[in-house]
Amino acid sequence: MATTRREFIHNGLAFVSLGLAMPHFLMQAAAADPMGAAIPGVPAIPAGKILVVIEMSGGNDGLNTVIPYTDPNYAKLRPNIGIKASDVVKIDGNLGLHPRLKAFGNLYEKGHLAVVNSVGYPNPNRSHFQSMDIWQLGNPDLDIKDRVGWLARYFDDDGHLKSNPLSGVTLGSSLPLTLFSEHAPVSAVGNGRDYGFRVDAGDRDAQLSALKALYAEGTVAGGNAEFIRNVGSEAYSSSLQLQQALDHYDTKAGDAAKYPRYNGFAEGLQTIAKLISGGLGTRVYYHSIGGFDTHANQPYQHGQLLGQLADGLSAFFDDLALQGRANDVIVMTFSEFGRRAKENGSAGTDHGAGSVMFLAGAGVKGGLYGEAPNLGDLDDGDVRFHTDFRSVYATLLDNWLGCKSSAVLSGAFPHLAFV
Amino acid sequence: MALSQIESAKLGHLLRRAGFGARPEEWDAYARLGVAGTTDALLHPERAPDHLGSVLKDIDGDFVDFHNMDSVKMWWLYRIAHTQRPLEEKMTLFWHNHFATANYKVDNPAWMWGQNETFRANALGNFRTMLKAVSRDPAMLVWLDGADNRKGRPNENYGRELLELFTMGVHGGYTEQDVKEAARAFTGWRFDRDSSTFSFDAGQHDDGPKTFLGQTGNFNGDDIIDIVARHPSTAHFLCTKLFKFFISDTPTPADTAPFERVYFNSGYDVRAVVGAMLTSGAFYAPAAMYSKIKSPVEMVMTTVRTLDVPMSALNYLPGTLRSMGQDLFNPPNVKGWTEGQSWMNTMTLMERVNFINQVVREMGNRGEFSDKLHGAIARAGMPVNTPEAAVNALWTTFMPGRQPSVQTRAALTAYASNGWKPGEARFENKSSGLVRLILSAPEYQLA
Repeated sequence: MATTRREFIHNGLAFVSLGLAMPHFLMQAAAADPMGAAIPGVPAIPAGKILVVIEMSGGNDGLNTVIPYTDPNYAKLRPNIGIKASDVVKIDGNLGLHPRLKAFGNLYEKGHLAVVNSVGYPNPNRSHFQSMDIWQLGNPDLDIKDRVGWLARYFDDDGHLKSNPLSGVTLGSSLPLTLFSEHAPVSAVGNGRDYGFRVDAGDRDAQLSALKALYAEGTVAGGNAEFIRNVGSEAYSSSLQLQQALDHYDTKAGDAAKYPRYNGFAEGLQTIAKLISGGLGTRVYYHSIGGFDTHANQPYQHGQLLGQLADGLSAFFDDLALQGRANDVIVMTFSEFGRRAKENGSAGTDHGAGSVMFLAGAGVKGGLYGEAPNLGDLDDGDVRFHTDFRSVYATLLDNWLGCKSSAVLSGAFPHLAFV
Repeated sequence: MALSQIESAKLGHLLRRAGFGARPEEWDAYARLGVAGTTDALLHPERAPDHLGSVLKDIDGDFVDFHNMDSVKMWWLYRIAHTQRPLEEKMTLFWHNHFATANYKVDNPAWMWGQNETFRANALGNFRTMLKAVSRDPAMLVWLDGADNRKGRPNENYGRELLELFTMGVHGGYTEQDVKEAARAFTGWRFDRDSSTFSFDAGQHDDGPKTFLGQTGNFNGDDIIDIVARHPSTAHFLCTKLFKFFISDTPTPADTAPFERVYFNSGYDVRAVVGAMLTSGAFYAPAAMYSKIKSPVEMVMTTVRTLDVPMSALNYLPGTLRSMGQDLFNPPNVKGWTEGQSWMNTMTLMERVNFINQVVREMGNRGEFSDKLHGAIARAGMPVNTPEAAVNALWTTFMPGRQPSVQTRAALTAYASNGWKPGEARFENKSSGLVRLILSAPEYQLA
């Protein structure tokens, strides 16, 4: 893709530099022009706390993530893939982290890591897709008609957030259901660098103004055409702002944070750190790491993934501290389900139920929450769930993002004390 | 023979939905056949020559390296660009998303390629035969751990997804116990890594009695497939997916019921079901026309075909498609791409617009754009002597049967009018810019 990169610099910068070189008041004017017609002057999002959601897709094996290393049933259930008590990163007398989560152990010691055990919901669904939808919708009732993600509902309920396409940002090129509604204008920004329209320099002004006119309100009405028109107008205004934000990043601090190399997940975290430091005002970032569906040959693959997760996040928090934003960010991890307590015949584990969530950051009250899994009392071969995942969501909505969780979650859920 | 406007709109719709648009000379040939004749030709790919497969294979090593994933991606895109059997390729794409398998786990491009050929061979064939072939497919046996499924220690992965995603659907009426019993029936299914062929390990097969969907017997995997293929949930699930693929995103049970009857009456024949769909009233309903969001592959390849862009200049397509959210041979998970509105967000829309700019610019740089465009304009037989006429001719060339709104027309005309000098070099610049804008408009993203 060298060509594309080169062309981007030669041709695309003509456009991008428009964003970089413009004084702020002109930026606002640009964002308020016909492409961003729904955005009167682009209200700045009120300064607030930031939530970074990490999706661990595939169904993370909670029992090999936070290990009940003193429970004799653990070794019995997992003769081949169990983690030895001598290898775990012990966090209390009974529980320890997977050895590749060593960096999480350090966060835990600092009091910056909350571990919520046995999280789930009643009548667990073992389909990847249905269970993922349940977590992303924040609702175990899949028959609901309104398939709006739980954080999209938070945006929908807040006028400020609803009017800015950068209220929510997801990396990569697809929007997760968590952030998806017809109203919430969330931006998928890829790797950040290439987020902009590339128009030939020679015909740039004429092309851009025509392009803006094609995506202005009223060119198409109804259905998918209008949906696309909305996305296009958001793409235009958000790309200007985002390129400006990336330019604010303190690269020296980024280098000092020592993000692991050759780790796409960590690269994404660094992009998030850049956008946070650039003061975009984004409230929710979404990033995912996949491959947790470890039906076979689990030990190597699972260890690799957990290492990427912990090492990447560790650098991310170092970076935020250097940028002076450590106190503004909480990271939440989740996965669609845990895995069966008993290993299967191919050195792996099949789809199970309750699992573990992590909350990390300087704003977190570290420690253990929920109840440790009881392997002597399984529910049809699965870890029994004790803490409803919506309690974690409610805690974050009420105590961190500062909104009313009962409206977003259609009900009240008891808070946990991690924030 | 000139088609009426209505026929022309229907033909364009048919070729977008059941193929990847048409090259200019193909359009002429299809126009001579008419809508009914074209439908018949599309449904019978075996009547059209397929020298492409052997030509591409013969130059293995030069053009295609079957051990390199990007190379296999290009091999498939090459086929889509040049096929004389567009529905066969369209159905291959459908099956790729139905039996979604990803190389990021399989880690063997040659097996991924082999699976793609299995989809092509059964593209419009019998669904039960397809299920049996897919269940024996090396890439699938790796992807869903079938090759690790052992007697006494079953691996549920394939059994579950066979029921949930390939046949009956998640609410199709099976239980967790049915998943486990299906997994037992498929124990011992293996393949030989050197020859990439299916094998059966009797020592690892559980040949004891199983109770599956209320029936009891010493079932093996084929027996399970026989039972699910004749289950009403399978007919409903498959016909719903095909309806969404060919007709519209939100079918009701009443919409799909007639096609479920065809599924059973034809003995699970995909060609019969697809044929019924392509000749149905629902297919040509005004609400269905230009209602579906093109997938990235559809958007890119209809553009490549309509503009006749040489594939040799497009080696970056695998990366482009990945940025647009459709990394071929790497669907996000076994459920495949979600499609519909999920294709479209700020990032992927930018990638679409940027692709159009790149491909038109590069054609211009190579001196190909003008001739091909003027050829297409001449074919449409429409004047281009004023900005208004040029907008009209170019819009109709790319979107027959759909009119731009007043505002859209005004935006394009304003662009064309600025410095308009027909017949001179400046018009060449305008035509290139106009095509970029038309192919970047929201309307062009719809099929």
